[in-house]
Amino acid sequence: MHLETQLVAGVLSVELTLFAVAAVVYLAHGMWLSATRARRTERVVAAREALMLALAAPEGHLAEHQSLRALPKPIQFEVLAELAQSLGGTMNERIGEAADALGLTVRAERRCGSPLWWRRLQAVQQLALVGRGDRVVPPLLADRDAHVRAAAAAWSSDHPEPPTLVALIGLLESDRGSRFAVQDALLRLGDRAVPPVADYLRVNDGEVVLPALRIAVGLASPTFMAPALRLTGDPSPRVRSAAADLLGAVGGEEAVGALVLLLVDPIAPVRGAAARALARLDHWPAAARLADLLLDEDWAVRREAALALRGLGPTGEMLLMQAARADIAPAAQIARLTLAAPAPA
Amino acid sequence: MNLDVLSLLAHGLARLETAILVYFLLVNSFYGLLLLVAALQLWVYAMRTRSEARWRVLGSEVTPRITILAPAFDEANTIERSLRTLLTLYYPSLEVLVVNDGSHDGTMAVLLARFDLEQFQPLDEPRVTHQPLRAIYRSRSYPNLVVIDKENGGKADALNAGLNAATGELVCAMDADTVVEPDAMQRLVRPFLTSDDLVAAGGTIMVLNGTTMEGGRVVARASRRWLPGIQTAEYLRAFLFGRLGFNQLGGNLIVSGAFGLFRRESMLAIGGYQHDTVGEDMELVLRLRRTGVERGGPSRVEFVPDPVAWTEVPASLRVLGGSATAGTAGWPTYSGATGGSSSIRATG
Repeated sequence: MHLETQLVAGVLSVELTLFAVAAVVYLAHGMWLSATRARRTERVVAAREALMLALAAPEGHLAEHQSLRALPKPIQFEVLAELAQSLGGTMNERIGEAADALGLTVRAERRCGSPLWWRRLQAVQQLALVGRGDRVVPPLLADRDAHVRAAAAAWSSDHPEPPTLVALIGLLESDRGSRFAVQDALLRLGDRAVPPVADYLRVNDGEVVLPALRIAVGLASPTFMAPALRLTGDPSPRVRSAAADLLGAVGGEEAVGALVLLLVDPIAPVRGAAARALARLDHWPAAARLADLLLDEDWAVRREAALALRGLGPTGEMLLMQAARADIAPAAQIARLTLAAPAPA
Repeated sequence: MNLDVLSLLAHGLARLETAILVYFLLVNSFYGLLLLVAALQLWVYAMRTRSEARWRVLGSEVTPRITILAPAFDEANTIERSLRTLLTLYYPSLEVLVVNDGSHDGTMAVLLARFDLEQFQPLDEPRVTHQPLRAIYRSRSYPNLVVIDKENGGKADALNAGLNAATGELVCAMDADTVVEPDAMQRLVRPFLTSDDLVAAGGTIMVLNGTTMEGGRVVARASRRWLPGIQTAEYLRAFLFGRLGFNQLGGNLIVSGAFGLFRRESMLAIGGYQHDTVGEDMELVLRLRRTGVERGGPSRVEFVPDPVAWTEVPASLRVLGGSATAGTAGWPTYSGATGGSSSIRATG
């Protein structure tokens, strides 16, 4: 019993000590925050104002401003980055020059080689903001951390060198962690991304090509015609659907021919995608084929066919009205619903 | 004899004391571990997002479409303000779907009058069951606003009706009286952009009582009243300590009904929300995780610390007791954090 009392007393004293330490740390941190934050905010605001005035003047180096130089390096970068995000062209180049003059670029480039992921990540993000890092960032597309790879991919959208594009396409297939950043970067690159994406689609098949197909739909270049036609024969229904979407984006005689064939695909989502694509191309001669799909066993296909017919204008609407008056229940139902719906916004 | 009894009693009490001590030692050790893990997670999250350019999400063609499901019951006084806030969220591909769950107070009349609605026929096949629809409307002024008017069936039923009509790849379930930070959706969607195995994500929810609002946004954040103040601390504890800690341990079982993002296909695959349950938020997440694991689909749930939505909490002990019983029976630890103070719950 004596032992237990001692144990309780010991535990209580440890808890009290912990509580006291926590309270002291908490209060000290609060005091430190309130003391430093106001001072820092004042300095940042002064630096920001000086930079804005300097940018408004055609000449003069931003880095020469004392208010900017007086700030710690990370805050200097923050102030420059704030401006860089809302500027472009020569103004942005001046921001980059200021980063060079203040030694921020060199510092970030050095940090790209750090063994710590958060340093590499922040360095890439900073270099992207000031438009620097041509030498050190491309290797980070193969970094072991997905977030660093994603940041490097985002950087690439402003630096479309051929080896970088090839590395981006490689990430598209294998790396879910950075896929959004890669897709976004390729779409932002526009026409410059067309050749590598087309090359990739020419030689690959199966569901790994789905992210690339999505980009191709966004880029909608005729260069994608041949790979899209080839992929309409892919064993995967998801790939055939995506290829139909791509053909709908690209258009042309060959595309229409392939899409009409896909209207009788054994898999419902593929038939639906083909109907949607034909509507996108405004291909009214396919109206009769689309009207046949109003009898499809799958609701989603009937829906796509009905919407496609409505999108084709008078020809399609006439066929919808015919179907609505007919006695065949599924076709009449979807036709009536579609005719009653308001035009798309 | 009396001395023996007293001695036995003293001995028993000493044993009980030791047992209680050991119990709290274990509990506090676990909480300590959770706190450390949460602190680490918070630091990692801060490092990953510190210099991130979120404008890329805002201007991207590959950002997934999100449908906000906002069930409303007798919210005529607040629905316009809440909806205008939702319609101005900073997200590129957003659909706002309000489900009027058979309100009696003129909620539907307010919607019709203020949002220039026109009726249309849905072309989608219903995949989950719910009470009959009266009509579906689309706004002429706000092309991304859809309003469903249906018979009363409770919150779960209203959310199911919304699930059927939603067009987003992701759906965000929230109460109609929830106020969301303008850029919260950009932050909440983040884990879905980097992961295929994620089925749901939740964000931090804060207490709306006592805050100052301007133009539908919260501008001053402190509640001066003691009960909402205590609940503010409890919300912070539950979200930034409990859920963030469980994130790393893979044990997150709740995504708040007041603000959470889900994969729509996964929700439909499990038949949507269940009507006959008192804690539909947790029940839904459990079924999503179980189905994902069994079928090999997405099954992970993640808590994202910085998206913030604001929701009203009970301002009196009587209401607080009622809401804890109705909303979170059996899960007192998260009684404050499951949100769901919406009036719609009373109809279920």
